[in-house]
Amino acid sequence: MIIKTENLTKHYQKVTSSGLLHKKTKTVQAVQNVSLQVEQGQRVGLVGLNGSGKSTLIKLILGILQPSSGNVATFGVEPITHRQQNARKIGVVFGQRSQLRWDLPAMDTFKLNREIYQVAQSDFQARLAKLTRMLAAEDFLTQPVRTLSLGQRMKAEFIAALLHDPELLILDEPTIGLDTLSKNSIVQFLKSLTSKTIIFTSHDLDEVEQVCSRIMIMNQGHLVLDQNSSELVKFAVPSTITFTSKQVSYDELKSSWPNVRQLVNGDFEIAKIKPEQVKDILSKLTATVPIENITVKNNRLEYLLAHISGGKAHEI
Amino acid sequence: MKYRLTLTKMGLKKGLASKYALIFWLFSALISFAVQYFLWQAVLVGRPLAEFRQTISYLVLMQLLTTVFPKVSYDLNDKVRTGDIALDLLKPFSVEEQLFWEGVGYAVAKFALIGIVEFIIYLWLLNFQVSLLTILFIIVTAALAYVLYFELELILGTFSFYTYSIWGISTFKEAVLLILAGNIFPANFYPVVLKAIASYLPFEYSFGAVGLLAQAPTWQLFGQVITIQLLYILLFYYLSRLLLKHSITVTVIQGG
Repeated sequence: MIIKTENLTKHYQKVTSSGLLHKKTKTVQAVQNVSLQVEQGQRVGLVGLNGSGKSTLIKLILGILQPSSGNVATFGVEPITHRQQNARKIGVVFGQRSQLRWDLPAMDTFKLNREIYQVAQSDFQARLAKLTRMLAAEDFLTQPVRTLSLGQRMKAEFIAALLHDPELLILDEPTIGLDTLSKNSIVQFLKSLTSKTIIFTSHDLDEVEQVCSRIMIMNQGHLVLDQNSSELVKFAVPSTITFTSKQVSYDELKSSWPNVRQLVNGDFEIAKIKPEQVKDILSKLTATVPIENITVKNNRLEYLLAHISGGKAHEI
Repeated sequence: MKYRLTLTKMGLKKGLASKYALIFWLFSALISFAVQYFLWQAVLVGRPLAEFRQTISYLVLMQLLTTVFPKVSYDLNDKVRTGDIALDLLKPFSVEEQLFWEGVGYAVAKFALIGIVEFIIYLWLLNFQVSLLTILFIIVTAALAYVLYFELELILGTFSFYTYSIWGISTFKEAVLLILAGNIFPANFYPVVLKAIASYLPFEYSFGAVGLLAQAPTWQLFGQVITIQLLYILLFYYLSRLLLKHSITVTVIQGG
């Protein structure tokens, strides 16, 4: 077993307001009684809205935060006291942090990591060539990091995290801020890493489902769902269609689409559409209404959070 | 060991990457030197020329040390504020070791671009009449002073875990150094009491003691200075590790 937690809890004091002489604090329950186990080779998606406790849980597992109560074991040992020992087996990518030196090329960080993790020169060269090819990163690794786009920088972060061939790969919102193309390229890359144990946190459930076979959802510090992604994908989530049409009025639309409502920016919205109805409604809408722009959304995460009980998703 | 060398090389490259900033630093140092030169010429008017040369060369040496010595407290503060400390903590080596070796490389870059000019000015002020033994004394005590100053900065940097900005604390450190380290004002001019107090505190052994040894290079003084430097390094080494360990345990990395 790679990770085991039992009733893991982390709370801390947060300053809510401060003046010259006074300071008001409140206790934030970042992680509450989380018990989980991750086996070798599993790909676990840890999903939740902002502030749900995903990153705090990751840091407790990595041993860079001290739990308030409960137990955590990473590679069978307590992670704070064995942090440096565990570090050799772990690769980390934090979407909002960087291990690359801003004013130096990414290649310098790779060479440093080769020394830090004592990777043989031949292994280093082979892995670097493979990762560079997989991520199409040949063109920018010798440029200073400050000149790279976010997408290029994240690719370099992935190479830096994987050069020592870690057993466990921890990805904390690695696609945050990336455009769709860069995001897809990272997701495809992650799908190809079949031999690694992966923990992938994000607030984008669809993205995590493409990579992970097991999904955990966190909400307000609690682990509220732990389910196979194949089960979760069966869960029917209603969709919302939003469209722009300047040639028809709200009253005209309302007569043939009773569920439509007008948004403050003038667009129209039809909400709570069952999955099996989406295709029909789209066809009918595009055939009868002159539409300039249309989007279909389903906020699966928010919907699931509202319909989870007993660690399983249930349709109401 | 090789990883330490690689870190040092990275520090050196970082320094050279910001070479234009360092060149402007050199110009500032030269302007500061000119001001000090004329100021001390006015202060020591009517005194023997040798005394003036001793004083001004001492101050140039102090300026050299100030240039080269690391500013680890700011580096650590930056890492804690941005949360990048999390990634350093996840390396199989200690944060302090990473900071130290990268800092050594950066110091070498600063010496190559600024320090060497200041050292030539130092030698010129003494008519290049400096013995090899004196240079050896300076190198050894300056190296130990560097390590001692690094430990002091590391201790200061641990405040970053408890306060958003260490700017105020750092300004206080500068004030303490101004009075007790002898890097702006030669210790010889101190009142007797202050001189006695300073001689027991660690600050003088990061700066002033190197200058005093350069002025009176005897084996006895050399032995005395390096003994005190080593004792303080040992003390602050354990103190800084203890503080850092405690700080990391209580910290909450920014952003979750």
